[in-house]
Order: sequence, then structure tokens, then C-alpha cells
Amino acid sequence: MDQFLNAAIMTLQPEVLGAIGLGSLIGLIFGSIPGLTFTVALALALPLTFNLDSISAIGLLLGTYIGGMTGGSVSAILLGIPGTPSAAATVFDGYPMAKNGRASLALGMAVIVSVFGGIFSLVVMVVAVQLVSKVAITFGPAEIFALVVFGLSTICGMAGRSLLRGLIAGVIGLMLMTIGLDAFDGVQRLTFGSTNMLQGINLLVAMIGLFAVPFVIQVFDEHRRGIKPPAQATDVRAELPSFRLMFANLWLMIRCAFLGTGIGAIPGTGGPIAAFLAYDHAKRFSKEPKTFGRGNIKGVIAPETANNAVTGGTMIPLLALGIPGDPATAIVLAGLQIHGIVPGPALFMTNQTEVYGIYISIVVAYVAILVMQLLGIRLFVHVLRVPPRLMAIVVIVLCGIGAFSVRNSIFDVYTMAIVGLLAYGLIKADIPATPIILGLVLGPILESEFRTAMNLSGGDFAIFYTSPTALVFFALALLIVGLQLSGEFFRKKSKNAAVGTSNA
Amino acid sequence: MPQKMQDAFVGAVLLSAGLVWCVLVWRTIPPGTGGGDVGPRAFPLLLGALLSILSAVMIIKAFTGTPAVEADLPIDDAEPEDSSTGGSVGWLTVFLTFAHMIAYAFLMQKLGFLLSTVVVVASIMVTCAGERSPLRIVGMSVGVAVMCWLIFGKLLGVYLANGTWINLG
Repeated sequence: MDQFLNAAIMTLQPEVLGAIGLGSLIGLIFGSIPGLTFTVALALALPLTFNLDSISAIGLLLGTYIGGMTGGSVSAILLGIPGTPSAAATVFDGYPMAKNGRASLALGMAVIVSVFGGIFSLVVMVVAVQLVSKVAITFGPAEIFALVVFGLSTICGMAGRSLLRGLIAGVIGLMLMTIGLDAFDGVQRLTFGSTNMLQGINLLVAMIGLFAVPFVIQVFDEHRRGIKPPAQATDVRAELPSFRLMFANLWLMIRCAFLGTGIGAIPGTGGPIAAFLAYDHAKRFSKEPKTFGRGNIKGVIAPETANNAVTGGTMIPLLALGIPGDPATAIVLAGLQIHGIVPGPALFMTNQTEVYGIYISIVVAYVAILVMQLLGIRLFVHVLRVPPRLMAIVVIVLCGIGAFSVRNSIFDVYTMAIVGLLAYGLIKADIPATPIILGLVLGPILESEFRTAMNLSGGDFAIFYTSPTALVFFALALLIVGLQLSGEFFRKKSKNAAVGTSNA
Repeated sequence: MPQKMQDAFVGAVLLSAGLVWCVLVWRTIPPGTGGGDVGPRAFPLLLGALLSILSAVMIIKAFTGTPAVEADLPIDDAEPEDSSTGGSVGWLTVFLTFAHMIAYAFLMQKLGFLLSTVVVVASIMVTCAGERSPLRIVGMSVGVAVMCWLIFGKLLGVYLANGTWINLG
């Protein structure tokens, strides 16, 4: 309790509140711009935190993450274009509502249920994280290796249209992370004798390149071809839904929040999948499924509750196991590490105060988002009017600052540009970018745990198949791959399925 | 380029990348010492082999398999349009953007953050964004550079690049 009060005092300082507010604003702005996701926002916001104290830094990053998840609904409702992939399902009913002149209600409802979903998932997370970390504290290298394999198997879920392409992307990510100085033997790997290459490819630099550079190229390309930016949104305000309307949908909100939290807790899934499943769920259990797609408010409530509930879900494996489930939490993880907080089972013993700080920051971020969205919705409408090419220019400069400031190294700026170019090529070739990130994030853990385990066992593979925990994770990994394979098989038969698959 | 040919081409590029990777790994990284030591070479080599195998499968599938299922929902955040609508123009943009970023890195080191940002933003405005009004070009480039310098460099204390030839700020 003492620690909780300590954390509350530390988190409710003006500078920390300011950092959370700033983060939420950045997230909301990036979230509302189609093409710029909260992953890019996080990667570019990370340099902001370098000189902040750890609680402010966490607050800023979490605010950006949550704000980005929420902000996607603005352009989804007003323009019919999801600001982030997570808001893609909101378009189905949000945009028709806007066309029927009910945009204000849709926006207001989206904010309210987002906050509801987020806070709900936070409560679930607080309980779950304690339990999971108690179990996880007993894990040795073999178990963690198995867990990481399980995490990687979810690449299949992110793979987009083909498992093969997803695997190729994942392997590319894993390969990139082996470049540099080997942490075990101190051997140089593929550095070509260059001192700059010794430090390897920084995860954040690679992420900035992977997500921001293709956006910039695409914007300039569209400009060159004369593709006009989407129609401009009209002036609106966010209207609070009546209590009766909210109460009537409370049960739906609770179910979708549960669904979102559960989906979020599985590494490799994320916002878009949760939102589409929730939309589908709402439609299936509705008394009037025909009204969906024509402006039924339930079609806004379900996906918006679920995609924000994902934020709490993804924090469970991140905090309890140190395993990020999607690119966004990977950046949060990197941010935490920069500030000396290493997520994992030991976190709850070493950094209890910071953990409470994280919980409180999330609540504060939602309050900030509620206020900003309800009062300042006009600002985000104006953001949507900024010509994309000017936005792209600002993004290039932010990329330069971000890539340089991670390690104060010009080499990283070159790396960012090269990774960005390669990423654009891969995206053009239909190789999805998200599994690359998962490979980048999990690669070093995978290799070091495997090698530690083999060292411990003296080269005997039995260490992996004699541990029941490890076997459970291997079985889960197989199950996921199997499900994806069978899913692909059935999808070939009926060409209708497919959920938005990026969770960036 | 039809989908099949494109798949085969991508597969071939990846296959050669995987093979070159394997050769480089084999020749430059020493193996482990045996026993329980897995060694620094094992993982890179295994991954290179995996990439080669997977891309070989991709080539084979391109010639024998059924065409891949097209998902009509967004697959990734930056999903570009089909390249067939304006191939050469697209690659010109790619080249220009890439060149600007490389130039930005080079100039940042030589001129420092402020000057290099002004130069690069102005150049991008002219070449990529098709801007012709001198007022807007100057306004945007100086504005972005100074704003970022103030917010990041001064307000937040983020370390920005210093120039070796000349340095402002």
C-alpha cells in the first residue's frame, strides 16, 4: 500500500501529468492521420523521453499508445478511412452514421467506450499480471525459449494473406538481429570489420525505417501521380451519448472488453483482430443484424471497446514475461529498458513502485484522452486537413531526429534509410512488415535463451522436452501454426474470410 | 508483371540473399567450441538456410501452386497501390526519398541539425512535393527546422547532431 501511495504521489506530479497529456495528444494526432499509426508515433516519441525521469517517460509512452489506439476512430467515422488498422472495423457503421448526420454521436460514443474498454482491461490486467508473474518466476532458459517460440508462432496470425510470406518476414527479422557483436563469445558477426556495425541494428532505428519511411514514400508517390487526398471533414463536435443509450449497451461493452483483453494478451494478435471479432460478435448477437453497416451505433461500440481493451491485454505478457505482443508494445518495452526498468517476472519485486506508476499512468491517460477528445475534437478535424505531403516532410525530419538520438549515431540515420528502402521493397513484394518486427524483437531473446539452456544442459536437448512448461508452450505454438494452416486451407475454398491482419 | 512472375522474382531475390548470407556466415564466423556450446555461427547459419528454403518454396509455389488468396481488407499499414499503374514514376519517388534521407544523414554530420534540416526540407519540397512558391518553401524549411530544434534540442534536451564543418545552435 505504501508503494502504491508512493507511486500515486510520483505519478500525480505536474511534470508527469504533462508528459502523459503530451503523449496522449501525440497519440491522438498520429492516430487520426490515416497511414501514420501509433507504432510510428511511439517510435518517433521515444526520443522525447530520453531526458525525462522514468515515471514521466512511461507516462508519455503509454499515453501515446493509448491515444493512438483511440484516435483512429476520428478519421474512420468522419472520412471512412481508418486512422489506424485497429479502427478499420469502426468504419462499417461509423461512416454511415456520419453520412446520416450523426457523426457527433458516433465520435462521442467512440471516446466513451474506448475509455470504458481501456479501464476495464486495466483492471483485468492488474489481476492477471500478478498471477502470471508468480508462475513465470519459476521459468528457466528452456521455458523462456519455449515461450518465445510460442510468441514467434503467432507470426502466422500476423502474416497477412499467406503463411509462407509471414514466415519469410519473420526469418528476415531474426536474421537482421544477429548482425553485430555476439553477446556470448564476443565474436563479430557479419560486421565486415566495420566498427559501426559492431553495435548491430538498433531495434528502434529499424522500426522507424520499417514503418515511417514507406509512409513517406507512399505519400510522395500519390502526390506525384496526382491522387487527391480524401474529402475534407466538416466541422463537428463530440456529443455525449445519453445514459440510457450507454446502459442499454453495457452488456455488449463488457463482452467486447473481455474479448479485446483476451485477444490482446495473446502475442501476435492485436487491435485489428480484436476489433473485427468484436464487430462480428455484436452483429451476430444483435436482434437486427440487417441494420449493421448502415449506421447502427452498436457497430461503433463493439470495435472501439475491443480495440482499446487490447491495450490492457498486451501489457500482461509485456510486464509479466517481458514479451511484447506487437510492435507498439515492443517500443514501450525498449522505452522501459532505456529507463532501467526490465519487464519480466522479477519486475514486481524490483520495481513495484514503477509498476503501480504504470497502472496510474494508464488511468490518467484515459482521463486526458476523454477530455481532449470531447473538448478538442475540432483540433483533430483540422489535423485531417493538413496536406499529407507536408505531414510527410515533418515525418522525415522526426525520423532523422529519432534515429540519430537513440544512440547519438549518424550511422543509425543511414541504417534507418536503408531499412526503410528495403521495407518498401518488401511491402511492394507483398511481404508483410509486422512479422519482421516480431523477429527483431524476439530474435535476441530466442538465441540467448537457447544458448544458455544448452550451456546449462551440457549440449543435451532433453532440457527442452523434459520440462512440462516448455512442452505446453511448444504445443501451443504447434496449435497456432496448425490453426493458421487449416484456416488458410479453408480460406482458399471460401474467399470471404480475412480479418485485417496488421496490428501495428 | 503478373502475380506469378512477381512471386518467382521475389523468391529468387530472397533465395540468392539467403545463400549469400549463408556463405558469408560460414566464412566469417567461427563455429562453437563443441560440447554444450552452441557457438555464434549456429543461429545465423540456421536462419540463412531457413530463408533459402522458404524462398525456394515460394518459387516452386509460384510455378505450380494455385494463385494466392487476395484479402480485400487492409493487410498492412502502408499498403501501396498496385505497381502496374505507374511503375517508373513510383521508383523515381522511391529513389528521390531515399537519396534525400542519405543526404540528410551526411549533411547532418557536416552541417549540424539546423542547417541540414533547412537544406533537406527545402530540397524535398521542390523535388518530391512539387512546391514552387519560394515563400512556402523557405517558410516550411526554416519553420520545421527551428521548431524541432526548439522543442527537441532546447525544451526536451534531446541531443541533436552537431556539424563538423559548420555548426549553428
